[in-house]
Amino acid sequence: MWWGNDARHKATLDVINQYQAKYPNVTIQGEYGGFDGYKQKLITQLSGGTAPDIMQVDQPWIYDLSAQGDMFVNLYKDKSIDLSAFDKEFLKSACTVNGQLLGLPSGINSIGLIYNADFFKQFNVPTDKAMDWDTLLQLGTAIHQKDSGKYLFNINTGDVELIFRNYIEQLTGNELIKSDGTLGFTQDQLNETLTFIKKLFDNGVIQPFTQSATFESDVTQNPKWAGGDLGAIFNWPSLVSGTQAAVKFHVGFTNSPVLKNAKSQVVQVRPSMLITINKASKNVTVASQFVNWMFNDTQAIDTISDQRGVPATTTGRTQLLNENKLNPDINKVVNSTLNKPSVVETQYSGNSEIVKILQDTIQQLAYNKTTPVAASGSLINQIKQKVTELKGAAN
Amino acid sequence: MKIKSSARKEYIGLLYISPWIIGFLAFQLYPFVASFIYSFSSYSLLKAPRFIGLQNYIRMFKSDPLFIKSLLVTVNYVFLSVPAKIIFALFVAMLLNMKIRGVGVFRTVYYLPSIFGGSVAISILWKGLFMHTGVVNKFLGLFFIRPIDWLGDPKYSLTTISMLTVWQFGSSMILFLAGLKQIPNELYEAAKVDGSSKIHSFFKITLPMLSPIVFFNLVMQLINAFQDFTGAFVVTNGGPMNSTYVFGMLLYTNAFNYFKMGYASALSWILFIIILAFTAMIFRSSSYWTFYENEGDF
Repeated sequence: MWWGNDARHKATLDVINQYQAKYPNVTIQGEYGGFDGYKQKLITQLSGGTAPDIMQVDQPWIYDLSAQGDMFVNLYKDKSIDLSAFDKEFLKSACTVNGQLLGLPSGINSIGLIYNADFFKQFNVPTDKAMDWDTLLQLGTAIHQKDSGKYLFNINTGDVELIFRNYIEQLTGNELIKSDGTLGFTQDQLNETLTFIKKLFDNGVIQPFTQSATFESDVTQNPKWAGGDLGAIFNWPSLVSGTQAAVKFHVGFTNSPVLKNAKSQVVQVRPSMLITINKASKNVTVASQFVNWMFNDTQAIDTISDQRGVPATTTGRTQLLNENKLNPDINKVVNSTLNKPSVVETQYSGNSEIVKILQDTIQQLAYNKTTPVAASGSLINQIKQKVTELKGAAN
Repeated sequence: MKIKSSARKEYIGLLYISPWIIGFLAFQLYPFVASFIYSFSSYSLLKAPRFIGLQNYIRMFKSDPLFIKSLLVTVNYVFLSVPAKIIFALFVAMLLNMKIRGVGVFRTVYYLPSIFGGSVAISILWKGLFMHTGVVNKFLGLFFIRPIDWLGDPKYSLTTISMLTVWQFGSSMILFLAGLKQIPNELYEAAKVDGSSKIHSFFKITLPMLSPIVFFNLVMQLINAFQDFTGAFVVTNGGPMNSTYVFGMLLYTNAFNYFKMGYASALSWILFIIILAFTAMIFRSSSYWTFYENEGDF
């Protein structure tokens, strides 16, 4: 079972048919749909015992799900799966919980700027390598001063939260909340991060939320974006092709800014999604053989192409590059960040309730209802309280 | 022979309503009781429910700031939208009660919005109307009024969302229309002869005669408004700054985003009690302002 758009559905169904043609004794039935409501459907199926043998799972979910029970096959122990083409560090940091490999990453995403090429050219915003956050702030301020109708970012609360996480993780070198529940930052570091975020709003680097909040659910719907008045979206590159299809200007992708003199050059890198095998499945061996084939076979790699992101296997990336099937911008960014250390969410830092607390704080800053100093104190208290609550509920 | 046949009639009667009984037991009574039991437990769907006593209820009041916020937002929403909806429904019903050509078409057109409900299509419509460069602001611009952020500014967002439900006044309007048609014309004629103005007639004849329908609409719309969810969900998703975070959203988020079924069940029972309390108040007060033609006892 997987989610995606029509292109991905077709590619996956093709791959299934190819495998069935090759191994006529195997029948695979695909279940697919959109992302909206997928998690609810998956959890309902898991609790009802009707979940499929192979499940596509969003990486942040494995923490919550594995805390509730043993539902995924440990792929380290699965003999049918050849892991040699995967980056070992990436597997360990992003796809394992308690030493068990819960799923295979079907793509790598590293966060960056999805930008309007004309806008960036007009205002001389560099795209050859990663800027630092201060330069970005200065550029954004200057752009808005030059033309009060233009803003560097086309961004919603969730994306500002991503900026927040990138900035603070670069500052501290730690996860936001460590796996034992302690905070990965000090109040001063939090204050510095929130002050930076507040400046983005105050200096006009971000369009006032009162105007853009209408497009919270989909920033590409903002007419200012299509009209060329907004410079860049801060998000995962999986949005690039869909975004490009809807606008007239060329959409490029470049690295996320990195903090100057950062404790660690950390940029958020994560699997685009994980392919997992249901532990309760009656066909584990057959399922893992198919999964292995899907990731390692030349024909399969070719068919799926980049529909699930830049392949996480070196063989996959090389093959698609040779066939010119990878977006060169995205590939460049992924390669430049792959060998750097990355910070991956723990079950606390990725928890939905914690995310809501962060987003509410960001909104308060955006609407001028609080100051960075006040917000940092309150945020720390709220996070601590929520972590205690989550720990209690887990017992 | 007589006894046998009446028992048989009973049995056949039961058979006829058995689909409804089964539906009621499975989809209404069972969830009703189950949610009460779950409200005293911690239940994430993937693990069996774990009994935790009153903790959910305590947490609601002690450590969930969104609970209080959401309650306030919802009460505001109800007191904004329900009177507005009823007044609009009555106003339009009176207009549609006039004998003008093509009134049938108008009746259909004014009823249509109620069929739309809350959907992504409606949310796009509402956004298109109320966004910064939307239709409403462009219209205001004709009168040199600066654009207002109807959806993005926490001051206005709840009012704008309330407008969505007020716009869907169709069912209340139909009931008022039916009620208006039942008011005997002689009353108005007699009043006119006695020198009553149109406004006087409205307050002394129309309203009292319609009061049972006002009562019905008030109760039904109140119950619905407290549970309203789709408008806030598809248009503003509870924002900005939780200014449209109605109770339905709090419930939905806790149940389906955080998978805290026990807590969500507790929330739903609190909502039930609140709606019950308001409904009881309306019922008790009704004897003072509701007038029934046949003076039945109620």
